[in-house]
Amino acid sequence: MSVRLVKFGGETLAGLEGRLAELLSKAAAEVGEGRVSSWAKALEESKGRTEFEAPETLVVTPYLLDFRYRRSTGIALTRFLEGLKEGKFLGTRCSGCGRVLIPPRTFCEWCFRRVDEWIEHSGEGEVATYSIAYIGTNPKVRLPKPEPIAVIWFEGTKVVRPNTRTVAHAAGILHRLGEVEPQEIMIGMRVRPVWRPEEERVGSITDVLYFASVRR
Amino acid sequence: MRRVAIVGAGMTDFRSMLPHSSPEMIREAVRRCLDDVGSLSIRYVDGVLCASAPDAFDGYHDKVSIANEAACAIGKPVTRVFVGGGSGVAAAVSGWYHVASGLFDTLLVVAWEKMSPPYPHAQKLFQTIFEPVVEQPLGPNLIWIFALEMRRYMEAHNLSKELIAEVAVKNKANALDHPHAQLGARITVEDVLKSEVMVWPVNRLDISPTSDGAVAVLLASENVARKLTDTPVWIDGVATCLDSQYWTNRDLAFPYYVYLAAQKAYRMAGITNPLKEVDVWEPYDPFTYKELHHLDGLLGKPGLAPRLLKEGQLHRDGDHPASPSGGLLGVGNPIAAAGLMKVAELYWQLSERAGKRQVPNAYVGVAQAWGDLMQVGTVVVCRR
Ligand SMILES: [Zn+2]
Repeated sequence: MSVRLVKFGGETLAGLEGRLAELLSKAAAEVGEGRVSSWAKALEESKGRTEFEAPETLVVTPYLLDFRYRRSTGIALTRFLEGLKEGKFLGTRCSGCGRVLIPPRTFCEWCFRRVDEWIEHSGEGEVATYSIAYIGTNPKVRLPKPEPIAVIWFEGTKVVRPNTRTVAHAAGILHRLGEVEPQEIMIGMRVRPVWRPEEERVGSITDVLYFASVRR
Repeated sequence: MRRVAIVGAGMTDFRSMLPHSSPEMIREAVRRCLDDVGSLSIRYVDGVLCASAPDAFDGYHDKVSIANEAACAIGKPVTRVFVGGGSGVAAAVSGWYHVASGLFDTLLVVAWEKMSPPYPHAQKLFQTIFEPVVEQPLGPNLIWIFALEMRRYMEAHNLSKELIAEVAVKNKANALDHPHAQLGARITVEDVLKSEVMVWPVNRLDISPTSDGAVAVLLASENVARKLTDTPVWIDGVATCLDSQYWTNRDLAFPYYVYLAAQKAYRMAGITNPLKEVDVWEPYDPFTYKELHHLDGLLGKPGLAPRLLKEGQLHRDGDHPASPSGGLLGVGNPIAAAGLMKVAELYWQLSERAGKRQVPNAYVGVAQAWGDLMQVGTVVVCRR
């Protein structure tokens, strides 16, 4: 009973140069090492547990995908991103149901009608919910410092369901919280956006550094 | 429309890494399912319905195409259903459409997942679930949205992490009695609270594992079902419901989409008081709090499930057993297969073949799954 790992052949990286080749070589080397002891353990465990036939030897082959994307953001989000660059939260308002839509869209999914009234919002709002992230996109990498993240609901945009206390809609986004210790954060806490200096803004959600508490 | 029954079920072990290829794994689940129906020949399978979650796990374009042979689909109509984590139960719902319509007398429903190939971890592939323009630049992880939902749910009903952790203790203990379980264990609330914090308030032991595994169930129309088995389990209610992709515009405290799907399925099944009439619950439990959150939706009473848990009523020997199988937290979470495992558990419970997991006097059961971006509820109501 054994596990054999197949490494990438030279042809995988043939014809590539510079930084990309470097990155891919690194990735290929890493995938080549991938979890041989875990697979040996898996093979061991699968033996004789049930009548499900298990292999005597296992070959593990590598496979590497590398894709990059360039995306057009469309009518609504383009205008939203341009607004961020100017330090403004732009949204749309539906003339049917009256909802403020942030992130903005050019149609209302409740009324299914076209929406073309644009509004500007201060970006002040409340913490709808929050958590403290110890990991980012790569689950294997612990963040150097735990980061408070939150859903921010923008002031004056809540639609409350009749007869209950639950919120049917609120204009809102995912973002980070800053200038605050985790134990001070509360749901319902009032917050305001903290912007990057104007010359550093590029038209991205990260033009807002984080949301900070509004002290009253 | 015709009445539809589950007449057989089969599954492989759920494991973090199965050495078998996807087709080998799927074929094994299908073989066990057909063996369960008196070694039924594949000639009597009229069509096949497949469910598997993101193609990215296999790194294969439309991975259902690699399953065709193993799912005995050659020469037959094949349909794929995909609503993320909700796929396994959605497959049973769509299977019901096929047979109830009168177009199929038998339909094989197959769900599987192989999450072991991506390196270093399958979970990283979920970054593409986030909206690319305003969310991905923040460097999110899938667990972020669950942590945010869990915190909102805790606030709505003043719930402690200690109470929620009891779901992991219960389900992993239930899974000790499941022959195919990956993570059956005796653990304590303390173990859950002391496990690594991933995204507070979610700790490692609040989360179901990544898994390889496959499940198959055979559906049949009423006439055929009565010929194939003495213990058909009827699917008497089915529904799915979708909420908005704009999850930051919704209140995460209560899953309305699960509630609406459940209400529709109960109407079909003639159930007016689910708390009284349902004997076995298999709510979707990829995270500890999700079992309670979903059960709230299924019961139509926000905050009721945590109270039932506190009173011990969700345990297998309680009045309202939830996840007697061991759920995703205990049996494992090969995504689409995990949902269909819950439907298979209803079949085993309601036909009194659940062995050590058997809930006494189980006549009516509900299975539910949840998926896409925290926005879809898929529900089936079964009855013996
Ligand atoms: Zn509207």
